[in-house]
Amino acid sequence: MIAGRVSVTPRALETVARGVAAQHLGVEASRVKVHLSDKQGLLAVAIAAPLRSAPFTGTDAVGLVTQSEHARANIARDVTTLVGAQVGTVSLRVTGIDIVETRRVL
Amino acid sequence: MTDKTYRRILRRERFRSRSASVSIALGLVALGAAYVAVEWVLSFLGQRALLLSPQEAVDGVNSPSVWGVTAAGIAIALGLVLLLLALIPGRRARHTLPHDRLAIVVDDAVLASAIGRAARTQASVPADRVRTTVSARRAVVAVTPSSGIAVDKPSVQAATERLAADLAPAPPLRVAVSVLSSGVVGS
Amino acid sequence: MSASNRPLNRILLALIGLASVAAGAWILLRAYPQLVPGLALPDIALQPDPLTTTIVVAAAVLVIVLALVWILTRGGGRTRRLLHVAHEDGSVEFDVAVARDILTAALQRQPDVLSLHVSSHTVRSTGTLRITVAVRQGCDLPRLRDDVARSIEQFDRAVERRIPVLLHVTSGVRATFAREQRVA
Repeated sequence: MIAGRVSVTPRALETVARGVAAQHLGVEASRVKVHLSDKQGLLAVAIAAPLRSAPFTGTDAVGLVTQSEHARANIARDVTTLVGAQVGTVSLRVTGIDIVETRRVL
Repeated sequence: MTDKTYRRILRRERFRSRSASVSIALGLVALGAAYVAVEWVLSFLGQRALLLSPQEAVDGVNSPSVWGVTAAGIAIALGLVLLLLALIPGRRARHTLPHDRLAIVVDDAVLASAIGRAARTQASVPADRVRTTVSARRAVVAVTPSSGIAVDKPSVQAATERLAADLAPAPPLRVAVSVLSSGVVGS
Repeated sequence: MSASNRPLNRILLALIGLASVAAGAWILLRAYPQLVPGLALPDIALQPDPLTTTIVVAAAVLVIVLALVWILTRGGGRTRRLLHVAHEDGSVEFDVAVARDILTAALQRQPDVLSLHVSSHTVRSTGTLRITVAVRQGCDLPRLRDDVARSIEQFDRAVERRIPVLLHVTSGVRATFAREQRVA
């Protein structure tokens, strides 16, 4: 553990949050809108972005709401870890679905 | 979804809401109210009337001239139109189709073209030889045959009835196929 | 599919209509008292004095304001939000665009479909999805119905719930501006 302090500007926080969200939602960071605020002392993250998903024709498709909840939880965890500020709430607004064939990586 | 929700939605889709009529009527009423107020204030201030001062209007009501009677006639006619709009259900040219998951409403024009397609496929005539009209409870299919080639009317009737049964529109449609006596050369 | 109060619309129309008929009838009966024997309608006497003028102006303003309010609050109920799940630690919200994206992809290969519009409405506190499909002439309606139903099944699985759906099948002309047709 290195002594000292890391000071992070709000803009930098937003950029980090945007990147994390983009990663877990499967879309480019440029399509993600993030708004950070304080809610009872904790970090509140509001995200508006599309969500990438596999085609729905298969019967084993995971529900989008479930995917969104997973993304929400992962975003909260990763942002907390990366910026060292405890995330209290993550509000995710899904603005569209990118239906992408999942490529099998061999 | 509850059957009740769908029934309410479909009922709203099948009949006009009269929102447009009310907006127009209210707009005219508002204009009338504004005009009356303007004339009244002008008269109160001793100014000249725009069109008809309150005193002139009252005189026109107490002892009506030809203009007064004409205006009265127009007022009664308009009033009756509004009453008609209020009382007549205002059915839209649509039918609903039953389904356990969706509420489906179809424009009559689409129904007509679907029935027409079934008819012309069965009768083997081009699309412009079949004219289908759909009203609330009837679908009339008029087939113009090709000269010299007979159209099997019962089979066309059966084909269109099959389609109507599959779709099961509400209100129910009775399909009537008629083959015109004079045809068109060529097929 | 607006949230307008339909019985109220008709009541308003009836009231205005009756008022108009009554006013016209009054004038006619003053002009031809012989139409209804024994009925003597009184003379109307008004003068613009300060009191009546204030009353008239106030009444006119009231009428105009109410009429404007009514006209401008037409056609409500449309929402951007398809669904909303709230938790203590945040929420998940889906825009209507989600339904649009899923259904557009599902119905892409439909030969009869010319265009597809998806919107969300709240009518009496129930959110409903409205799908407007414009089809070509001679559309295979049973097949369209079944294909749309299948797409909705996919959509149901995707959003993990069954939202009420209204499907409106219309012909190619823009439904809003076309006169209703019954012939094809």
